[in-house]
Amino acid sequence: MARAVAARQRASTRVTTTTAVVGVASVLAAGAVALALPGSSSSAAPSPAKSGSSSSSGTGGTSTGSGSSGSSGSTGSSGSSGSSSSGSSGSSSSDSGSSSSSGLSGPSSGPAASSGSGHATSGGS
Amino acid sequence: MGGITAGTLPWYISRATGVVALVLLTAVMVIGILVNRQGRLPGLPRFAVTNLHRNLSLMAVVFIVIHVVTAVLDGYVRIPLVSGVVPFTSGYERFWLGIGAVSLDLMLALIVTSLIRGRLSHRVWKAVHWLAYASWPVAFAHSIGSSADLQGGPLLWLAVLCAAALAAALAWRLVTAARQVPRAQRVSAVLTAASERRLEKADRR
Repeated sequence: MARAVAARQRASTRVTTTTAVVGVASVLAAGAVALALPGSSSSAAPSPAKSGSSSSSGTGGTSTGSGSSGSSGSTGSSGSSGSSSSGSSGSSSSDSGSSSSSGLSGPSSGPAASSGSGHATSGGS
Repeated sequence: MGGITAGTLPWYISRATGVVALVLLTAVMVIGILVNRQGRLPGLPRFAVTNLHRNLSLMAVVFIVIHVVTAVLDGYVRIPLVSGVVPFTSGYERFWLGIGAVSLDLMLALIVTSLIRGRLSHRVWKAVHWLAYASWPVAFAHSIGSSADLQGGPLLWLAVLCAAALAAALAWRLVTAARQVPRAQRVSAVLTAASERRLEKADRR
């Protein structure tokens, strides 16, 4: 009887430990995924796209050459969020070479990019 | 880290927690299928597997809540908080966010009915619990459709792995269910087996 109780307690402890381990692993995994997501680690800030308007998109556009990898997705969105003709034209004209890569990574960077473009098309038009 | 700023932090948290929530949901589904078919995990008795299933379910819901709240907090796309619960009310990505809300509602129904399981009849609880089979594919479609993150690269493979794990668990469940003797015939099957054993013993003597 005592053995059964001890076995049950051991199993409960294992469940608690497993839950804690999975919880910590999930949080760590979320952090790793966040850092690995397109645009998270590059120097060209994708974020200004969201908060910052045309001015930030301008900087994004200029730095696109270096950060054409991930941030370009949000750069695209920044251009769109800016919705100002200068921001979009700047990125399109000067970055036409690199804009192909930004266009590729744009969709891969997630819904934000798509949302951004959505806003951009509505705003731009 | 340069890409993640205070302004974009909710956006990245939302995407990352969405990915982790999908993995956790898959684990919950697989363990739930194992538990239902008397399956066991190594080193854990059945009651412990049930507890683990419950704990992981609650953990998945926590990640989903963070996923929704951070998506709402993100200032770039305006997603009203109500759209996290009420389907098809978001102006942005109405369909994909709508099915995400449907999935969340189904999960909430599962969690709530499980928490008050003692007050419900087993039949009602089980009927609601069948919704889990609808909740996962809806959540999966939401993940793939609403986020381009899972449409390519390593995260796509992660999504494929999740789907494969669930498909394997489902196949195992169907096979074991097919092999199992129907409930109505169990008593007669046990009696027949017992009588056969007796006859074998008698023959040996």
